[in-house]
Amino acid sequence: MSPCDVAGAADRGRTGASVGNYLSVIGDSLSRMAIDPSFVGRRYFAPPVKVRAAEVAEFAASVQQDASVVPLTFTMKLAQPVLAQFFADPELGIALERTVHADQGFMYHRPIAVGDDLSTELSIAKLRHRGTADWVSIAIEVAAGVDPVISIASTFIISEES
Amino acid sequence: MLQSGVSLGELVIDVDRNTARRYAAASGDANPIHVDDAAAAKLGLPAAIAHGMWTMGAALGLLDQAGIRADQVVSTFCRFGKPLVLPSEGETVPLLVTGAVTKLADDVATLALEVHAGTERIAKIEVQVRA
Repeated sequence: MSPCDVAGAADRGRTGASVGNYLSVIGDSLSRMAIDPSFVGRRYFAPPVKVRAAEVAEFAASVQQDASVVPLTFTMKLAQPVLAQFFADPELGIALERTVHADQGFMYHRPIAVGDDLSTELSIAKLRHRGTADWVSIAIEVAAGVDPVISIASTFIISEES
Repeated sequence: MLQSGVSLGELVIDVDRNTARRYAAASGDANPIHVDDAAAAKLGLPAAIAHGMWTMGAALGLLDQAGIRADQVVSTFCRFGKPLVLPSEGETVPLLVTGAVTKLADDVATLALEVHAGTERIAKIEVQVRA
């Protein structure tokens, strides 16, 4: 199963109902143009970064976990450079401060270890405009050289600029 | 051990403003809606909210507590239903994580975790592990 399948499966399930809560929280504002669907498939790449023991320990402590293993969500820290490129892309017109998280999936191909050099590549998997927000699904492939390590799928709800 | 219907127990974590500050620093997630009430208010939120990725990361601590090793985990998927609105400075709100095995097939167990903040369910997590 690809990460897109993971996201898609949720999408066909209960996501619509549950994140409807988010929409009601975010509230209503004037509509604007949705993100152009031609951006599906756009990619962002970040070169390898080393997994460092001190960063793993700090991250583990921040999610109330034992630092003896790399937390299952640690790759979201490794993905920050590629996420930053995505959120700063002027052509998309999105912004981190207008973003909430709808769902998140990880597929683990092999465990991460301190000392690994891991690259990240983000691609835009799906774009929808619902009500007053863009729903953006992305996939991030975390790899050691050509070997896949973790596949990430995220869906963000990005509200309109008010 | 990972038979269908088996409970994974529960995990309780007190959440406060520092929870979000620490996660922001450790993860590099600089979204201001997690530390700044005014930024959250622009999205119609009553106050700053916890990072979804903090909630997921902390909730997955239930696996370790239940004796499941990280190298057994095949996949995790979290659906964030409601925001975890952070309490006022100096206050805490309890995060409660519960879970159970819902299926065992072909040596892969499916686990369902539920995450509550106070009395409200805020997230559901599905995990697949090698049994």
